[in-house]
Amino acid sequence: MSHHTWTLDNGLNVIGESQAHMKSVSVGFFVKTGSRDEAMELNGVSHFLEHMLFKGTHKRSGAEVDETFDNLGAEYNAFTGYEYTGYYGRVLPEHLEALMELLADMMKPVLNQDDFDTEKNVILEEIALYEDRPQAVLQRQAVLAYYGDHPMGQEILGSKESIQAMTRDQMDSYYQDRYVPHNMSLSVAGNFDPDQVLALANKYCGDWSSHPVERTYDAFEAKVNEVKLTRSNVSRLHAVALSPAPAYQDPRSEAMDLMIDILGHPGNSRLHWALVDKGLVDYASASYHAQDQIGVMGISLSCAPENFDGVMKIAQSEVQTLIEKGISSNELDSARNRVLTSLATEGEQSLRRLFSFAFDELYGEPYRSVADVLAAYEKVAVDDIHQLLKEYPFTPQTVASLGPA
Amino acid sequence: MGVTQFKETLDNGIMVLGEHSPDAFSSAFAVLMPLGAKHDPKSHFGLSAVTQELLYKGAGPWDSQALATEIDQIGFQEGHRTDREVISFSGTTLPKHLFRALDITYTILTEPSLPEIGLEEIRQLSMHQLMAMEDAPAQKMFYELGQRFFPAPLSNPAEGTLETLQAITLNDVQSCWKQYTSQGAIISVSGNFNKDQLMDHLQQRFGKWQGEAVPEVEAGSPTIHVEHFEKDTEQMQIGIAYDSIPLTHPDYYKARMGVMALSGGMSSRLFVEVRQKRGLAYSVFATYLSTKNMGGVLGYAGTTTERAQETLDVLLEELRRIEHGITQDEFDKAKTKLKTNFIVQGESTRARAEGMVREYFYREKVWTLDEAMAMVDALTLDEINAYLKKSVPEKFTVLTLGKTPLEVNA
Repeated sequence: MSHHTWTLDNGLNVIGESQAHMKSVSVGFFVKTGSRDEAMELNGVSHFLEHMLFKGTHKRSGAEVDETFDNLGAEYNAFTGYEYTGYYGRVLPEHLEALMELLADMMKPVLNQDDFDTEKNVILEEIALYEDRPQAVLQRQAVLAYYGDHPMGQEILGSKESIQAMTRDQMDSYYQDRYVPHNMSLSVAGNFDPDQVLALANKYCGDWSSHPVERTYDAFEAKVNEVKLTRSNVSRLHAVALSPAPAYQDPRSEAMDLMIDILGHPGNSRLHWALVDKGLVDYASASYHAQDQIGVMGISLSCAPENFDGVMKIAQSEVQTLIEKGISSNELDSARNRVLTSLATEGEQSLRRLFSFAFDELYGEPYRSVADVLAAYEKVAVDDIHQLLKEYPFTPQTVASLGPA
Repeated sequence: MGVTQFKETLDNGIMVLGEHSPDAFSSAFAVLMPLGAKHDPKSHFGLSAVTQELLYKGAGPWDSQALATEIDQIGFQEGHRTDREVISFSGTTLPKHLFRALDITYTILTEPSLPEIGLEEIRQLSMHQLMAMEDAPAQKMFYELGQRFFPAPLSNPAEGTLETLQAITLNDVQSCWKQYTSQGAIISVSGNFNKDQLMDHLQQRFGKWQGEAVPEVEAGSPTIHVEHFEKDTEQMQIGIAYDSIPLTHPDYYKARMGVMALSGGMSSRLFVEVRQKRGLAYSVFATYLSTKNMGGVLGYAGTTTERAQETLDVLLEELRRIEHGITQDEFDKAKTKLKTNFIVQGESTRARAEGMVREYFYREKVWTLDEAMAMVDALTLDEINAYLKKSVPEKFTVLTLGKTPLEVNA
């Protein structure tokens, strides 16, 4: 295994992790832009733009972009989050150059008006798709109530209204502003020759011009809120509870990962034994979202409407017991061992490695090998988690529910 | 160093399939038994799945929590599922914990406590999950479609129904568990391990497992349904299924190439016609469904009510148009994709372990990578198109879920 980090003259960071025994190579462009970076009236533009990058470049039509991926036998896709947008593909090693050329070409889209109009319908369909998922509807409302007017409260997909009102020129100006080498990175993982990757990066991205891009970090205080929603077409009671947690860059984020696993891992955790094992809920889980200079943890569950009060009492008392009495070393070992097996399998697959170190780069963290990540989890002690429980008020701040009318 | 494959039989007849990769950081295994939802009595749909879940409520010396601790202490990533024809148990561990993980699995299979209270908890959870399906329209549509497209008893819903879940007693569960036997069981192991030690170890545990074979149940022929489920949703869920050949058929990869031209990459027909050209849907795809003796093709799209009729018409037109064959370009893409999939699957020990038991269950053979490549290379466009021409999909099962029924235009 060998690791390489280069910065091209225009500021583009290129990160490579080469493993000769892997059967594939994965390549991704990651842009530090997402819904939190959007002006309110342009909410949803990052995600819409992600779709438009597949719709044509100065060299290729949209159909040709798709054809090229498929001719390479690639596994490929793209995604947009609150604070990042990513484009990736995985191919056999002999197609590395073709894949890099294609992805680099996509980063320079034409944003054709007709394609923009057609794709707008696809985005509206995607919004409608989530409208039919109560858990997604609730999540959105909970996030909004928790963040208030902080940019992290903005939706990734945008709203029907913001998408309908959006123009091609507004999108182009957002694109020109955000998609520059200083705000992007190129990552390559798997079976490849490092010298070749550097040469290809210069060949296909070396002439991109750049300018500095800043993200604004607004002050944030978690909102204490209770939201109760109903809808006539919903059958179950869905609930989400949110509270603050360490940011991605926080050295306590590994301890937090393990703590959240102890609280809410499906199959063996405090919430599992108290709620799922007893057959009281449809599911219950806890999650931790480590984000850029901010973090949030959530508990989600759904149950029969008549059980809701009892179920919520149990969930809250589990959190309270965790805060007051802490964890055992057996629980910590179990959670850590689950992570160790995951890391072993991650080390075998080029695409999973790509995401892992590309995300570190997106959040301004130094490159870490599987062994480095492993060591970070190995060093978490019971006391670290107890300290974390003292420092973070995990008592839910915003509790939102959605049930039948 | 390269990957080596082997196939051996334990004294009691259990087939063991191995794939040794010295570079792997993990080891994975799978155990498959030819016993699935199709064996559930009509009045007791869900029995196989409930029985499998109940194994985790305690086995050998452990109650459910102690068992979960045993599993987690070695970082054993365990998974189990009940399908139409088979049940399976699989897992991934660090190589040093492989034998321990196999031992735990053997205890779960052969010494479950099957506690009454555990059955009640699982019944409640299963019923809650069925009711929660009302809030997951796509999942609900697939659940209903499976029950209508497949002939009985392949149509049996593994999840059960609210009524049949209530009928399951501890006696039923005990009888179902008694059918877990070595007869027809297949074990696969993939990753980093010592073969001789592994075979010794398996012989000591799984090699002692006995029991009688489960009687085979026959399925009839598929019948055709067109049905609409009324629900106040933003999007209409559209599911279409038609009869095809099973994975065991010599022409399987010809049929599969046809489906790959329809769906897979973004340049495939359904994606281009429904999403790229017309912007009708976000999610649209077709996939191959296969059981041992029957195959089918499933088409899906989710789209808002106003665009639903046009979406259904385009879907049906594309599914029918495949009889005119695929192009050279589509053929080349499908070949490359198939080959890439065969090669890249080798990066995941879990995917290989789960793949091998299934492949053996269906074909009674596991291909080496060279054999898979040779099979793909031997396919010709003319043969595929000759196959597609004589296998025109005629009858479609169409299920829709949403605000208004649609016309199925013949």
